[in-house]
Amino acid sequence: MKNYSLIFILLFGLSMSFWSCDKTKNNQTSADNNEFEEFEEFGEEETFYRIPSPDEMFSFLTDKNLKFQPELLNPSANADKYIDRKAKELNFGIYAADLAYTASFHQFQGSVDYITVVKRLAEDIEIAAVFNEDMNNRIKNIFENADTLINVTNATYYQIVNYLQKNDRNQTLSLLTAGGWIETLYIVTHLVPEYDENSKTIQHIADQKLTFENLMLSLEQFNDDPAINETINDFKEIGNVYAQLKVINTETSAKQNAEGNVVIVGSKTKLHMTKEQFNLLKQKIAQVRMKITGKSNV
Amino acid sequence: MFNNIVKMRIMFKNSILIAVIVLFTVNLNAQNCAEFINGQSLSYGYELNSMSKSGAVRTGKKYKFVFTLNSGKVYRFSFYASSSLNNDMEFILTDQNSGTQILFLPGEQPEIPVESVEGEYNEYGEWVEKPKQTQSNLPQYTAIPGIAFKAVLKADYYNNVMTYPFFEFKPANAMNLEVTVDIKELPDGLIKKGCLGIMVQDRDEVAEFQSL
Repeated sequence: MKNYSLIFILLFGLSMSFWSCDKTKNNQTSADNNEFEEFEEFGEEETFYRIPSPDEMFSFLTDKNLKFQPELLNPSANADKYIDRKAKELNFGIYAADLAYTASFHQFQGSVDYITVVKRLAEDIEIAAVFNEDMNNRIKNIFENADTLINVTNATYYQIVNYLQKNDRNQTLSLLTAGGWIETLYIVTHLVPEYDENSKTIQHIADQKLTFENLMLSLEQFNDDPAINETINDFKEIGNVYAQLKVINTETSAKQNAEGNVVIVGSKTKLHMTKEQFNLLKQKIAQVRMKITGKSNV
Repeated sequence: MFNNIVKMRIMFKNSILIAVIVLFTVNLNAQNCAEFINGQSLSYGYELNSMSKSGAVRTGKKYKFVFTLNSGKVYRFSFYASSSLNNDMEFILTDQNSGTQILFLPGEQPEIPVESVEGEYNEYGEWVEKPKQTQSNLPQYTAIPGIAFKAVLKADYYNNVMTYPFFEFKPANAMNLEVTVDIKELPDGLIKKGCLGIMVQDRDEVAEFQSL
C-alpha cells in the first residue's frame, strides 16, 4: 500500500513536470497567480526608462573618414585600480562601451582584450553568471567574421542588462548605463575631426540629449544611493550644455516612406547644436569621463 | 504504541516527499517574467534591441515605459502578455517630444463567429462540422494609413499560431517614445498576475524589407 502511494506521488510529480515542459515548448502562458510571486514586479507608479546600448550609437558611425583610435579607450590594465563598488560598476559600463567600439570597427584582438576585462569585472560585481557556457562558446567563435563579433558583443550587453533586471540589480544597471553612455559620447565626440553643421554624427550627438534626459531620470529613481547621487551631480554640467541646444522645425510628419511599408512617425522638430556647444559638450564629457576612469587620454 | 510511532514516521517521510515533489513541480511551472520574451524569434532583418523589457504585472494597473529612439533606424515593437491577464489591455504609444499619440491598440475585441460549412463524415456516416472559425474585430486606432501592425492579442488556436500586436515605424527625428500599458480589471474584480513583455527590434534604415 505504501509502495502504491509512493508510486502515485512520483507519477504525479513526473506528469506535472512533463505538463510544465510541454507548456513552455508551446509558449502558452496560462498561469496561476502563485507562479509569479518570486519574480520581479513592476512598481506601483514606476516609469521604466530604457536607454539604447553603446553599440546602437556606434552603428551610426557610417562616415568612412572616421578612423579607429585605440588611444581613446580606457586601457584594460586600469581595471585593477577600481576598488569600490561605484568605480567598478561605472567602469564596467565604460569597458562595455569600449568593447562595442572595438567590435564596431572590427578590431578582433581588441575585442577579445575587452571581453576579458568585462568578464573580470563581472566577477567583481557578482554578475559572472552572465558568461555561461553558451555565451563563452559564442565568444570563442568571434574570429569567424565581423558580423559574429558584433552579434556577440551585442548579445553580451543584452544578457548583462537582462541579468541585472532579473536579479533586481537596478542600481548597478543605472551605473553601468551611465558609464556606457559617457564612454560612448567621449569616443564619438573625439572621433569627429571637426564640427560640421550638416554632419549626421553631430546630429546624433545632439540627439543624445534625449538619452541623457532618460538616463538622468532613471538615475534619480535611486538617488538615495550615495554612489548614484554623486554620479547625478557629476553629470549635471553635461545637462547644462544640452539645455542650451535649440529646437528647430523640420518638415517631416507622420507619413509613409517611398516604399509604403514603414510609417514615419515623430515630431516636426529636431535639436540643433552649434560649434561652441559641441566643443563645450566635448570638454564636459571628457571631464566626467576622466573622473570615472582616472585617466585623461586627450 | 510501537506501531503508531512507525506509522507516524512513515507519514512524516511521505509528507516530506510530497512537499519536495510539490515544490519541485511548482518551481518548474513558475514563469520567470524577466525572460518572458527570450524565446520569441526575431523578425527577418531585425536585431534584438537591449531596450526590450519584460516583467510581472497584475490586472487593474498601468505601466509606463520610455524608450529613446534614434533616427536612421526602423523599429519594431512587439507586445506579449500572459493569457492570465485576460487579453484585455490597452497599449498607447505617444511621442513625448510633441505629446502626440501615435498608436492606440485596445487589445482583444469581441469575437464575431463566422459560419463554417466545412466538415466531414464520421465513422457512423454522420456529417460533423469542423469547429467554427472566429475572427477579431479590428480595433480603432489612430488612423495612420499603411501602418504595419497586428492588433490581435489572443492566440489563434485554430491555425495553431500565436499572434501578438506589433508596430513597425521609423522615427522622423530622434524621439522619446512613451508606451503606456493599461491592464484592465477583471470583470469579477479578482486580481490576476501575469507576464508582460515589450520586445524592441531594430534594423538600419537603408535595408528595406517588406513588412511581415
